[in-house]
Amino acid sequence: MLATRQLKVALGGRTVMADATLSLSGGTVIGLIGPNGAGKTTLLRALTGIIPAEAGVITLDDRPLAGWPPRTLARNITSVAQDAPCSWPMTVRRVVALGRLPHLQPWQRPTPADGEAIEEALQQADVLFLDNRNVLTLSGGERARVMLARALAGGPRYLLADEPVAGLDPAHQLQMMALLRERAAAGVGVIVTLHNLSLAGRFAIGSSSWSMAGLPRTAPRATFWRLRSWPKRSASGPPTAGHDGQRYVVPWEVVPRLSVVDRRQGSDGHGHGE
Amino acid sequence: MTTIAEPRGAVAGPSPSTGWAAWLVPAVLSVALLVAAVASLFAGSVSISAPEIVRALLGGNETVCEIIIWQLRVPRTLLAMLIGASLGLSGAVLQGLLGISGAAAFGAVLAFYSGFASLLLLALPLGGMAGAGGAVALLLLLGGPRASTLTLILAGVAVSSLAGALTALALNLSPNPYAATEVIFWMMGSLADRSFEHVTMTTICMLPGWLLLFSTRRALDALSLDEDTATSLGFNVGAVRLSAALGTALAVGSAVSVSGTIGFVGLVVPHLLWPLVGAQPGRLLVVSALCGALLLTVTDIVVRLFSTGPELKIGVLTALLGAPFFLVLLLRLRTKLS
Repeated sequence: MLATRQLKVALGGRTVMADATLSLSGGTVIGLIGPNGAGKTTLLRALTGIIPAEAGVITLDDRPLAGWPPRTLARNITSVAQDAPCSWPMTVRRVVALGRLPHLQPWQRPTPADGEAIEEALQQADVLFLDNRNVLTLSGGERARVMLARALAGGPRYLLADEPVAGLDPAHQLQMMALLRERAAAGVGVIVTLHNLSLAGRFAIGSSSWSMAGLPRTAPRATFWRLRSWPKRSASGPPTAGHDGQRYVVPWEVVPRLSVVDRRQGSDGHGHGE
Repeated sequence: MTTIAEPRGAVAGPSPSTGWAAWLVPAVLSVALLVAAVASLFAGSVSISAPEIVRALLGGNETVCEIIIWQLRVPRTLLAMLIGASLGLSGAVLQGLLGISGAAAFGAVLAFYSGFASLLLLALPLGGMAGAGGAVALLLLLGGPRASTLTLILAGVAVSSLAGALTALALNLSPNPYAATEVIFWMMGSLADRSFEHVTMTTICMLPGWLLLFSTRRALDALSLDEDTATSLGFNVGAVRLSAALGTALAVGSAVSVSGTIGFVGLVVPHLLWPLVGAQPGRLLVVSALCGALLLTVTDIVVRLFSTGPELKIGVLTALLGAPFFLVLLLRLRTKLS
């Protein structure tokens, strides 16, 4: 269980996030939406142990993050950074192999088990056919999947993906989301930040009803977690469109925020599909 | 900033990741280094035949031959290898830290490295460890989190100017023309007339430096992705920077304290080699150390072969060869990008 209690994070003296409480267990997807600057990335960075908590605690299996050795932590929680860059023209396989680093002692050579994990990750993220390509020459969709494979190679229990679909075409967005859900079905706890509301609704609102064609209906339960200052519903509610008995939010116009109550509501864990 | 200049055409080359291929490059370099080291024993103003060299190596310190071999040539060869290895190794680590995908990053490394090297050199006339410590602190400060390529280039320019000003100051304040000449000669770099004491002294400082530099190997691999990702892979980026800076100060600092400035080795070598190791920064370290040692040993032979009048300084030669090499490399990058 990866959990936060009354988490407060400050960047450069400014409180970016306060009172965030959530818990993520294996097999669950949490979709994180919110406007730019709401603290989505900050939350993910805090959960990875990159930035410290100002107040409150983050625990992995009931033990504070700081109490874990960095490499053990890295084996358990892994993150896919937004627009993850690579600064050398390495092959895809080598980039994915970097995900195995937390499993290696400082002077240890990679073992056959590492090779298998890499192979598996390449397959899971559907990038096996790219394995010999230069990572700098990939398209956005390909690179996003390679970075996902890199994260999966470490065999994490929790996967935190920061806007993995940003800049991807609709088909690749759907594919990426399906990949993440597939991992969740395999027992990984996933947090994914998104700006695409319909996609968020499609994959995260509701519960077991959001299986996709070809995937079992027993797909893991997803929760939809609201960060502060999400625009409150206006009198008429936001425009929605429907398909297959579900309604999805369609961003249409900017609604003035009612930000007073938002902060409290933003920390209640789950359950708010608007 | 990463969008400026990614060499899209640059392919990682064949991927020698498994089996014999991974050992091929270091093996070839080791053999070449051994050959160069032996050849270097032959180079000098007195010509000594092979049997005489072997006899001298096995003998003591008595005949003229033995004295020339043991007190002049062997220390010189060892120093060339040690110093070259240090320069190549620290160059590879620095480039791994700064990243290399593009002309701009490349310029940053160039500016940065030369500035850093000259600061380390200045540590000598301006007070040993204090100077080295200052250079390290500056490196840590400038290479801080989220330093863009442009920041690094400008920082490199600033550091170089500072080094230039301090050099001028050292010359300005030198009590007599001899002291000034000494500083100037120091800036040219040389391996002539060094003794076994120099070898022991440098080795003692270099070894911990090498260890620190090698210890960054895996972290450098992780840092080919962004800093956050490297942290999430379990590496402490700050500690890696500190190891790299301290290692460089120890290894390169002790190298320049014996030889004076020998530029461009640390820059040229990693650039020549990265396509051969699949562009993986961690795997660049060993081969860069070997190739640096090889390059300096060969250059030192050339210096001795062509010295007729005043001694040709090895630092002058490496700069003469290195600078045009860089221009060519930049031109190639430019054509690739356009």
